[in-house]
Parts: sequence; structure tokens; C-alpha cells
Amino acid sequence: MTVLLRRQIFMIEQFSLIGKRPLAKTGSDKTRCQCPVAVAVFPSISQPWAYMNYATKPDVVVEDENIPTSHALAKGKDDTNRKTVKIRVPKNVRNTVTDQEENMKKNVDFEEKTSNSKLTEEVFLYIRKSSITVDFNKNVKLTKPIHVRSPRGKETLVIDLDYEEEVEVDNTNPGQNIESINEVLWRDTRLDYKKLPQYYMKLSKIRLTGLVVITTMAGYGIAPDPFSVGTFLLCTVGTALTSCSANAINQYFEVPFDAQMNRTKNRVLVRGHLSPLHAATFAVITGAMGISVLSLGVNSLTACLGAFNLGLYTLVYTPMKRYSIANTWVGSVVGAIPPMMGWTACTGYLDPGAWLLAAILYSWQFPHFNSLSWNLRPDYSRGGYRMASVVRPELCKRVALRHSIGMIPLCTLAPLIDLTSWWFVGYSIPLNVYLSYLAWNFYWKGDSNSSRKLFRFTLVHIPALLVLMIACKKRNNRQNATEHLTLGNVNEDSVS
Amino acid sequence: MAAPLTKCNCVSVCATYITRRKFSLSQYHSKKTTVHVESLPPEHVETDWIGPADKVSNIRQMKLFIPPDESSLERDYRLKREVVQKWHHEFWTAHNKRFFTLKEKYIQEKLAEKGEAADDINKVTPEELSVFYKKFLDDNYPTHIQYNKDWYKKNISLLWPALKVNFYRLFARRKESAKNKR
Repeated sequence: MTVLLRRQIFMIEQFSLIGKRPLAKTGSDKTRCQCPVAVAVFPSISQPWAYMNYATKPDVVVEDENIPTSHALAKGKDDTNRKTVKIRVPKNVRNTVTDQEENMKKNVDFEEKTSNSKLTEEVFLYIRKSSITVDFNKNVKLTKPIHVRSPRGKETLVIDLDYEEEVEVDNTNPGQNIESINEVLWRDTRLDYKKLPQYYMKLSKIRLTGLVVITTMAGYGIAPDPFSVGTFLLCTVGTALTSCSANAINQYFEVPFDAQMNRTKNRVLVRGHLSPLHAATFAVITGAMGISVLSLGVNSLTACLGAFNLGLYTLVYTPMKRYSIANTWVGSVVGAIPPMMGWTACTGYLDPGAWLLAAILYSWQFPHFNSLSWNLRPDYSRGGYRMASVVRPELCKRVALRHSIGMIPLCTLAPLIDLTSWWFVGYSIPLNVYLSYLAWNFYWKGDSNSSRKLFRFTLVHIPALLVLMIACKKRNNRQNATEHLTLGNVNEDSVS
Repeated sequence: MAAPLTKCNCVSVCATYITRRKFSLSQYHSKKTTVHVESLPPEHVETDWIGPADKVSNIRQMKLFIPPDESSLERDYRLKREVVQKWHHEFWTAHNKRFFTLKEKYIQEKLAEKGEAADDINKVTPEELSVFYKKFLDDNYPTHIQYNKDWYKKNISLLWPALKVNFYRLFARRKESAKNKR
């Protein structure tokens, strides 16, 4: 580390490059900037830093090979740049500068009686109003030593800077956005068995799984056939296990992408609480258990639907998120299948009612997801996720609106296929109209507020709709018929 | 160059001016102070340790334990993991640098178009930024696809060695150490 200035600070008041103006008829372009320089001189070590304004305003000439614009200077190159910052210094200050380069020991117009000893205090070059401090001390991470030359006869002190341009990242970068001390510390990855249930719940995205299971239970409840507690529980457990498996595989595949977004940076695999093999094994076991429970305890149609949904989510939707915006449509199908599974668990086959229920859930996914993704555009863009909100924002809003309005005719179909009574339509119209109103707002305004309102309402809308459906469910002949049969058997037995 | 320099007339503590900020000629973020908390890995580890997310790439560094009696199986697996981690780090460093650099450039262009200096009042709206986000995503599509393919391959190819190493540690290692003791 070469010593530059003995006990001196050069403060450059304003380091801003005005523009490209050739100063001399030389090959390289030179840009001149108006930089008043303040100089502080410290006669002894013990005294505090003294600082005073400099009366005249010398020029600072920045010489570089290619400086297109001032901005490009800041951000143009990302490997080490060589910049020559020439700071013009008056003669009497220059006299106290000692150039102590290792290979040449020159004293330039040296008049001072103070010794030529190496600098013991810290020296900085501080460029005020630009938040640049060049620290010349030992701790600075510069690749090469900084050379200072004070050529004889010229009034310029040349400081050659070699530096690596730092990238300014903002808080959308999780590495920069530190929210707790746990994110900064090094951690042992040894498995903590006490926390294993917690890790498994996080791995299987327990909240999302819970919502999926609720839609399945709703599908079972809305189906017209009689309610069998055993089948109901087995269906629930099977669906829950399958959903856990799907989410575990999703997290297993998305580790580096989850690390890039603030929303997902605390996932179990990203943080290293579980190893990838552990997560994959968990997924395989829960998936196998889930499908077996469904096929042995419920019926094969439900198991097939479950397996199909698992495959669709993990092998189609998850990779597709990075290929095309059509992933949203595939994801909506994934969300629509669980109620169908609930229905087939109850009745054993896919009635028109099952399809209508699936259609309602399918349509609901669009206002739900499109509004959620609206505020995540920076994260999706940097993470490489192809979502409609980034790639085709108008389509995104239009689709959300279309499907919100489409809920009204869908709900009107319910009594027409003998699924519910007409009361359902009456009760659901306010919900659907309000949803459409919020989607309309989102379509026209397209800002974070309207998207957030729409998203929050979708979380209220679907549980309310499902509850209404079950409440207004039509008690039809099928249920009554089976009841009659059982009664008849009892009577005959008691007679004989 | 007329005024002579007077020595030490005013004594004021300039410590406040001397802040250790990174050397950066960014004019957009000129008033920002960033606090960097750093933590170092332990010198000797007995298991694998995982570190904080890198500031630019967001990838966590790992310090893998090298047992004294490491078999070739374990060594291959360990080296593979290190290679994959490094590959992630390099890709995302370059990618994120590109993103933030281009974003900064875009913001400056937009503000220059608006005709005023970069200050808090005159920000770039989210709608204008969304144009940049779309462009970035479209421009980097081939890179993302390639990374995705490579990542899936690497991820799945790490499973089998991991399984072998786990079985080895559970069963074969005990046998080996028992053999060696004899």
C-alpha cells in the first residue's frame, strides 16, 4: 500500500461529471468537472482533524478511455476500471505532499522540515455529496495500490484509482434485506429432531394444504350421496398427504429461485434445515401413502384424480413457471381438481355437479392469483418467473375481470343442474357482484392497492361461497332412496 | 490559486464525514448508508455448516465437513455439492448484477426524460418499471431456460450419491471402523 498524502485530507466538494467535452486534441476524451477542493492539514498526530474551506476552486480532470455519459461512468463497466482523478492543488499544499511509492522515492518541491516518515494516521479521500470515500488505509479492499504522482511543474496531483464497481442492490434482494440475526449467522445443518414436525409442516406448506383439504371436504359435502364418516376422513387424509407430497417436491425443485425472493427466502430447504434428499424422500413417502389411502380407502377414481393432480402440479406446473405464462392456467386446473376428488369420494363418479364445482374453483383462481402476482412483479422478473403480470399485464387484468364476472353465470347454473336451490343464487349474487366490482377496479387502475383489495376479498369469497353451497344444497331422491332401502330391510328382518 | 492556506484555524471534528461507505459512483443512491453485518464460518466444523445469503447472489455458502476417514464415495458427493453451490453463486451473481445495473440505467434514463435531477419527488412509477421488468424477462429467457435445464439435471443427479452416502454412513462405515479397529 503506497502512502499518498502525509496527514492530509483532500475533500472534493462536488464530484459530478458535467458531460463529454474534449479538452485537448488528444486521443482520449477528457471530461472536466468543477470540483472545489478543501484541504485539511494536520500538523501533529494528536490533534483532531482540522477542516477548512478552500478559497479557490481548482478543477478536477477525469481522464478515462471511454466515458459516454456521467451515468455510464458509474454503471458502465463491471470489471476493474482505471480512472485517473486529477486534483489540482495549490503549490504550498503540494509542497507537503510526499510521494512514497515503493520504487521511486521522490520529494516534490519539498520544503517542509517534517520528516519523511510513513504515514501513521488514517488518510481518506472523501468526495462529498457523492457518498464516496476512498479509504487509503490498510483495510481497504482495493486490488492494486493507489499511486499518487505530483508531476513537477504542474499543478495537478494525480491519484490513480483502481477499483471494482460495487453493484447497488436494493431490498428486493434477500441477501441485502436482513430481517433477523438468524439470516446472518452460520448454522450447523445437523438435523434437529425436535423441530422435525415443524419442518415437515413448512415443507408441505401446511396452510396451502389445509385450504386444499377444505375444498375437498366441501366437494364431499356438496355431493348428493349420503355422508359416510369413514370415507370422508380417509378422503381428507389421502388428499392432505398427496398435497404435502406435491408441495415438498415443489420446494425441492425451487431452492435457488426461492432464495432470490423475500417471500420465500425462509423456506426449509433454502435455509438448510433439511437436506434435499430428506425432502425428496418425504415427498415420495407421503405421496405413496396418500395415493394408497385414496385407492384403498376411498375409490380408484379419486386416487387417479389425486395422482393426476400430483403429476400436474410437480411435473407440469412447477417447471412451466419458467417457460410460459400458460402456467397460470395449468395451476388453476390443479386448484380445481381437489373438489372433484371430494365429490368422487362421495358418489364414485363425476356428475355434472362435480364439473360445475371444478369450474367455479377454476374461475376463482384467476382473480386470486393474478391480483397476488401484481405486487410481485419485481421478484418474478429477477427470479425468471414468466407470469402474466410481468409479461402481459393487460391480459392478466382482463382475465381476472373476465373470470370474476363469469362467477355469476356459473353460480346460476347450480340450481339448474339440481345441485342447490335458487336461494344459493340469491345469496351468492352480492358476493360475486362485489368480486366483479373489485376486479373492475383492478382492471382500470392496475395499482398495488386495487390488486391487494381484490386478493384479500378472494380469500373471503371462496369459503363463503362453499359454505353457501352446502347450506343451500338440494336434498334429492338419491339420499332419500338409500334411506328407504335401509328402513325396508330392517322391517323385513324384524317381521321374520 | 490566490488565497494562501492558513493552518488549523478552525478545529472541528470531522469524524462524522468519514464514513466507511463502499466506493461507488452511483448518483441515484447518493445518500444511502448501508449496514453490513458479516459473520465468518467457524474454523473447524464437525458437520456441514451453512452460511448467510450472499448480498448479490442470495446463495448461501456451505462449509462441508471432511471426515478424516472420508471414502471416495463421500468425497465425490462433497465435491459435487461444492461445484453445484459455486455454479449457483456464479450464475446468480452475474444475473443479479445485470438486473440491478440495467434497472439503474433504465431509471436514470426515465428520470432524464422527465427532465429533472434524480430526487425523491420525481420517482419512476411502477407502471414504467413494469416495462423494464418485461424487457428483462424476455431478454434473459434463453439464459433462464438453460439454467433451469441444468439445475434440474444437477439436482436429480445429486440424489443418488446422497442416498449412497447416507447408507454408507449408516451401515458400511461402522463395519469399516470395526474392521480397522481389529
